[in-house]
Amino acid sequence: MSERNSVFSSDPEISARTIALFKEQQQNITEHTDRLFGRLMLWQWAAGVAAALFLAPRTWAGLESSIHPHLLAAVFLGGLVTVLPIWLAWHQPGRVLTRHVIAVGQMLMSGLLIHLTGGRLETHFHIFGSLAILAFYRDWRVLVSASLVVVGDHLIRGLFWPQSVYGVWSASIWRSIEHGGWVVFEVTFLIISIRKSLSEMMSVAERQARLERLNGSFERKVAERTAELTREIQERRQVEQHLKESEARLARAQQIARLGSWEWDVAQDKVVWTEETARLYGFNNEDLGKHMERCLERVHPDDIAQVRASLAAAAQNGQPFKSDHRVLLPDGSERFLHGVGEVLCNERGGAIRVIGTVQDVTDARRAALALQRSEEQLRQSQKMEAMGRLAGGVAHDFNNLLTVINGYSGMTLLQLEQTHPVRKNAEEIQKAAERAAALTGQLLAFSRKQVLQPRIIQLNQVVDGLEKMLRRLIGENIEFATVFDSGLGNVKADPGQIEQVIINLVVNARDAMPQGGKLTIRTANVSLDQTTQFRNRSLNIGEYVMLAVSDTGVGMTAEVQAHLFEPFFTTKGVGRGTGLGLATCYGIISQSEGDIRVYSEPNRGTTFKVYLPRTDAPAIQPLREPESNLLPAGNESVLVVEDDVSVRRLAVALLCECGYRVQEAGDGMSALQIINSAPTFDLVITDVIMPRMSGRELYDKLRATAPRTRVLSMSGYTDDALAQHGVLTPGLWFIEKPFSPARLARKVREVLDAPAPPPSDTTSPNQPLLPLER
Amino acid sequence: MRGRFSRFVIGAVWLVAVGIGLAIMMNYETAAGRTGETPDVWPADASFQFDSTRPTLVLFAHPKCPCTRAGLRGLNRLLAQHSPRPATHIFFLKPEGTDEDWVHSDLWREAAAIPELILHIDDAGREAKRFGVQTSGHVVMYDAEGQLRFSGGITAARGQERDNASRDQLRSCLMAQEGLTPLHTPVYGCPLRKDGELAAN
Repeated sequence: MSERNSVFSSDPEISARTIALFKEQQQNITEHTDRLFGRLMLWQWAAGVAAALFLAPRTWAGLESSIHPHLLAAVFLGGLVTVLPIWLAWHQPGRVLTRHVIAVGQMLMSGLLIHLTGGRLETHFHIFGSLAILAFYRDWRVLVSASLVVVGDHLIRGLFWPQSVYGVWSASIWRSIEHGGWVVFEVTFLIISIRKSLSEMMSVAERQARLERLNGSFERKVAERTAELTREIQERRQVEQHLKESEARLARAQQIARLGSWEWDVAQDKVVWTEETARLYGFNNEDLGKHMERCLERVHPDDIAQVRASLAAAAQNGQPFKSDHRVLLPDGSERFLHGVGEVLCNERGGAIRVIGTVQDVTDARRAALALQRSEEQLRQSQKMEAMGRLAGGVAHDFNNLLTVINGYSGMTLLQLEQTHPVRKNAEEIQKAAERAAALTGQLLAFSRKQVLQPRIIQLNQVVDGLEKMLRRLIGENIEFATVFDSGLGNVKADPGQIEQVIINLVVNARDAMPQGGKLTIRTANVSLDQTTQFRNRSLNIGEYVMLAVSDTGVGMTAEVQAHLFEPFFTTKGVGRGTGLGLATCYGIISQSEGDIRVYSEPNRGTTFKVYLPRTDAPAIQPLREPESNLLPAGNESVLVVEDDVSVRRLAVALLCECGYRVQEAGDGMSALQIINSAPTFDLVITDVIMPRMSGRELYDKLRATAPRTRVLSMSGYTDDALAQHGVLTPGLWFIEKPFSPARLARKVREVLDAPAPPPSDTTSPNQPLLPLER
Repeated sequence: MRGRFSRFVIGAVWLVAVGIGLAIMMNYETAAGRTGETPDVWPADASFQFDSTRPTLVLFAHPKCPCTRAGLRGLNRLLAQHSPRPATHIFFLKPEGTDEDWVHSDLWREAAAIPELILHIDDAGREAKRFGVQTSGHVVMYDAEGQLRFSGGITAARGQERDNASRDQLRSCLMAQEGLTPLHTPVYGCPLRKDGELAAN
């Protein structure tokens, strides 16, 4: 108890909790013991009944028997003794009255059992055992109650039924006191034991109280720490969530910008890529792996050396990584990437890792290339335009001069006998004029100022028709071969121009093979499933007819190829080439909506491929009239409008010679005045380029005032004044300058013999082109 | 307060009821059985002759009386402690109309296990009648002269085995060979016959 006192005085909280725990424990013990006795007494009752049944079931009188009073006592008296304690044990456990009633009942049951077992000495131990069990209550008052019952029982029976307890007919009270003394003897030690047990219980309660307070402290700390951890976890989750969102935004931004990032551990050659980087290189992120070489697998073979060099420079010298390279994607397409990276070095300056980005610049690169091409095209166009203007201007005057030279020399030849000594001179003049005309024609061709007279043709037939001439051109030391596609489609082009292109290409091939070789012309149908670029021109998706001229000659360098189609560019030396051949080809093909491409390697030969749009329309065979020395004649009225006096006089003279009724005018205004003041002319022959009023304007006014009058225009080249894109419209005939007297006479006769144009202006660009002749 | 009073009343009633029950049981257990007139001299018509060299002790028992088991065990302990042993006979009642199997009960077998003991079947209780015995557990003891020295029970109450004054008196009679008046003690056991049967015989 001194320990308890010290506990109480030292810490009131501990003391209060100790007492509470002690009482709680005591209550638990009491309730537990109550129930223990409840079961014990029930069992004792049953044991008493069983003992009575076994030892004395019946009592006898002679042959008659009846239930033995012991059995009745076991059942009823035992039940009476037992029932109240059992009821209290089950319904009011832990109460003071309960345990005292149990103590009394248990002692009474001891007495009953002693009697039922014949007063056996052994059964008396039931009393002492019961007292010991009652000590479970740790309540000395219970032992006192039990002791009082035992002592009272002995006193009463010793007084009234001494033989039942002492076996004598009269007993001294001291004998009862003696018996009671043994009980008190045991109870005394039990009480001592109880006090010690209570003291230990109190001590345990105090330790438990202290432990609880310690646990409470721990639990508070644990709770506080748990709350902190929970808060930290929540914060960490929020941070992780924010990080994920940030990473998602970054990934999305990279995807939008087509910008991937990467980090290369130089020492271990381990690379970390973002998904966008993998996508840019055409990999799944999982497939990309961890090594730089994996990524480089997709780099374009032409760029791989440059990329490796840049990486090596970064890894070895710490130079910033920078690389513009292409990658080949699994679908065959290319992607242009721009990569940059910074190098992180250790304290010794060695590269540890390279951190970089790679960006898809395909669109920008293509836009730049397109811009470059556009600029080149623009430059080329401007160049060609300038050349065209120059050529046109020169050709106009030249053609007029050549027309005069050609015309008068032709007329002279018509008038001279075959044996006339001057005739040879006149023929030379005419040949020189024709060569000059051809040269002028080439100038107009490469500048695309020619008047095209396209029709549906088949290139096999064109080549076939040229074959004899071509064989003569190339000579015998060159093997000539043609490979025709039997199912070759038709194209819409000016056959004369196409012939010019073929001849130019063949002549170039011949010149490339001075030691002989093989020249092959091949035709084929070609389908383009995507737009292709070459030089500054592109071919759209569609069906084409390809004509290829291949040689096994000296070939060309890339530098030469770059300038190949420029006017006056030649590798043949002065006096051997004009530099207009391929430019002419290029102009003709371009004007025909096609393209010409060259494939060549030095000493490996050259192939020119001409692509022309394929058409399903049937080919038209031209009607060729037999050549005749006689000029066709007529008596129709003709008005010649020409500002060049020499040409005008030539034409008037020639037409008069042929029998026509001819008037002349120096320009369009004069022509209109003549037309308005005179009867209708059957034919008006007009120059196109004239001062004050062009031939086109004159034509338009004639269509309004004299719609059935035929108009034959003369020109060395075309421009917007005569036709759109060099294509004539119906009702308007054309003869190209320079012309010979015979050509003019036949053309006039042809026009006059043709049906008159419709009375009203019903011309349409969709109407078929008339067959024109130069 | 009311509940406390109720509990007190209930406790008191319970105690009183238990007390009454115990009192009834005590009264029953300490109620002595009937005894007849035991002859002071060995009856001449007894079925056997007393032993002239030592005391002769005869116990009469109902074969099925549970209370007599305590007397039988008391007798056994007495004989074991006394030397020389008296000539001891036990007569088990065999009522009329019963066979010997009825007699050979657990009590018979327990008695048969006691050494130097002679068991008899008292056919129709004639022997008991000769000795004036009416209650099971009644013991008579004659000395070597055939003089009655003890007559009565040797238990403290019905079925009680503990040491008691009656058995002590029998022991003293066995030790004091002569010169004493016969002692009589109450007998606790089942009646050998029901009321009236003895008169009829």
